[in-house]
Amino acid sequence: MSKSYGEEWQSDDVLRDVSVDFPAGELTVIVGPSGCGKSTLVNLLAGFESPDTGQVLVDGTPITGPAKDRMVVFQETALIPWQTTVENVTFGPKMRGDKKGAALQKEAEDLLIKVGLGEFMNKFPIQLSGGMQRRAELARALINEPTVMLMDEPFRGLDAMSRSLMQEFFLELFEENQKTNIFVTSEIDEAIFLADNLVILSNKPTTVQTVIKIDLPRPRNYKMLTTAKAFKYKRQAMDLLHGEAMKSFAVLK
Amino acid sequence: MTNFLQTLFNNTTTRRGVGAIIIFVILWHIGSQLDEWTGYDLLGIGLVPPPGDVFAAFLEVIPLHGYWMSWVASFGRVITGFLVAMVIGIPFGLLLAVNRYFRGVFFPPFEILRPIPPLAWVPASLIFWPTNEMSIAFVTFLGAFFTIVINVLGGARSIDISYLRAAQSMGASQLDLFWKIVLPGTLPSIFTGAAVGMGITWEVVLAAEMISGGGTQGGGWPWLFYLELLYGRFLGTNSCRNDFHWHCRLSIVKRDKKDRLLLHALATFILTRTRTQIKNLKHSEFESPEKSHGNNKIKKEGDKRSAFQKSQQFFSFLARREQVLR
Repeated sequence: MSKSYGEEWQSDDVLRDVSVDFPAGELTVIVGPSGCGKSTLVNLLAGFESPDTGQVLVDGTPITGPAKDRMVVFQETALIPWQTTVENVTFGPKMRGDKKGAALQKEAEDLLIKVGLGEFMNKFPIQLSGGMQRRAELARALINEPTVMLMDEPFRGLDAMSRSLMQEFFLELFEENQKTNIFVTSEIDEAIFLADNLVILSNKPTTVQTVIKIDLPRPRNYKMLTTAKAFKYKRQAMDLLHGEAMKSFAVLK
Repeated sequence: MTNFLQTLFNNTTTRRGVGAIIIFVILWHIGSQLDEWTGYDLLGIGLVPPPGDVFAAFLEVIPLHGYWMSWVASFGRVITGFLVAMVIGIPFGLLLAVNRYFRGVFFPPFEILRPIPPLAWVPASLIFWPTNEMSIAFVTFLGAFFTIVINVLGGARSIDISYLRAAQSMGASQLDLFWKIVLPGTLPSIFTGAAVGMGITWEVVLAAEMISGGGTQGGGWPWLFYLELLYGRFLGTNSCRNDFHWHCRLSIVKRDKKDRLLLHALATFILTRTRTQIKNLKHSEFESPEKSHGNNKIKKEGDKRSAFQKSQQFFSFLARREQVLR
């Protein structure tokens, strides 16, 4: 599919003929140089915007707009600031009316305890730390039982310590229930640590450059990042990304 | 009580505040008396009456019927204009924010009308509205309306799009988006708009009262009261006495100031402008409303002239004015 912004006479091609498969039950990480259109890709996958050409298919059916089977965890926090954590988590089911009352409340509380926010369910998002906000957001997405999770640089802006903790926490969650997961990031280490498949995007107009299969055993831990195999993947990815990053600098010059 | 005062004054902020006000009053007193003491007038502050005199005059005004009636009259106008502005402005601003077609149709004319200062509307609103009271309320309404709408619109438009997207992907309908995201997200801006709007309303209401001759229908509060009683008092000149049959019991401005002439001229200028309205009013009206009942009736009828008649008069006035200027 392709996507460009602006009028026909002055259009800015962001995505050009991007075609990629996200295997069910696997964690696919998308990496690309900054400003290459990763967020645009997520918006198309989520259905917030529609592609100029081509389509997004889920199990062979084209999507028509945003829906609860594709939940998005946003770059910066998108928890609703005037609702408490537990209200945020119950928001989706309440809006659709498919879960109700005490059962919903119980489920939300269990989920929050699972993500380690048991004591914070009646706090407002602003009273939580960055890492807690991301975990609350994960809980808010999970309660909708999505078939696909879309994560748009979810750990961006966290300090290195909470970031690595969040990565491990997220991996645990993923390895537990193996949902189809699309994870966007600009950090190679994070990408290799998490991914089953690593999609490397080119510079704008964006195309898929390579898909690398990351063959590290699960469950993973941070020690695997220092194995020879992981280094090989990292080297391969860095070579590709470095070339692309140089191109984008060349444009600036 | 003493306990309460003690805790109050143990607070540093309170003590600082009270201290600042005391210092201000002392400076004011020194400034107003400097001329008498040293013969040197600091930046014309010597013209300002000293705080003691002002306070005494204030005490004298407090028991007057007119003082409180002025509060009631202005307050009523402000509240009317402000409430109408809120009731119309908030939904209007929200509609502008959420509906592209509504914005396309109504935003350009809104933006053309917005820069017109509320006070510039006074003559037009005097013509278009059947009573003076309504004209004043309309002008105060305008003062608050544009501010409220712009704040609501800006607030609603600046809601982070990811809140909307998150809610949307969780299955919220358009109506849910409005009630659960847009409206609560705009509330802070609604309150800011209301606070700023309320301030503007008070600024505008006095000016509108002055220009429209004080809404003679309601007895002329507060502008005529202000003119006759306070101006008379503050100036304490013969001309005031003749014009208003008012015995100036207290003259605050010192009589032998060379600038008295200037003040005199200013007062005469303002008084002549409102004389037509004043002519029908007896001095007694300001202190006992019962006696003036009959008088008020006549003026009410006078105010009920049709908009057409009013505009006729206004335009003939303009024509005469033109001739004079030539």
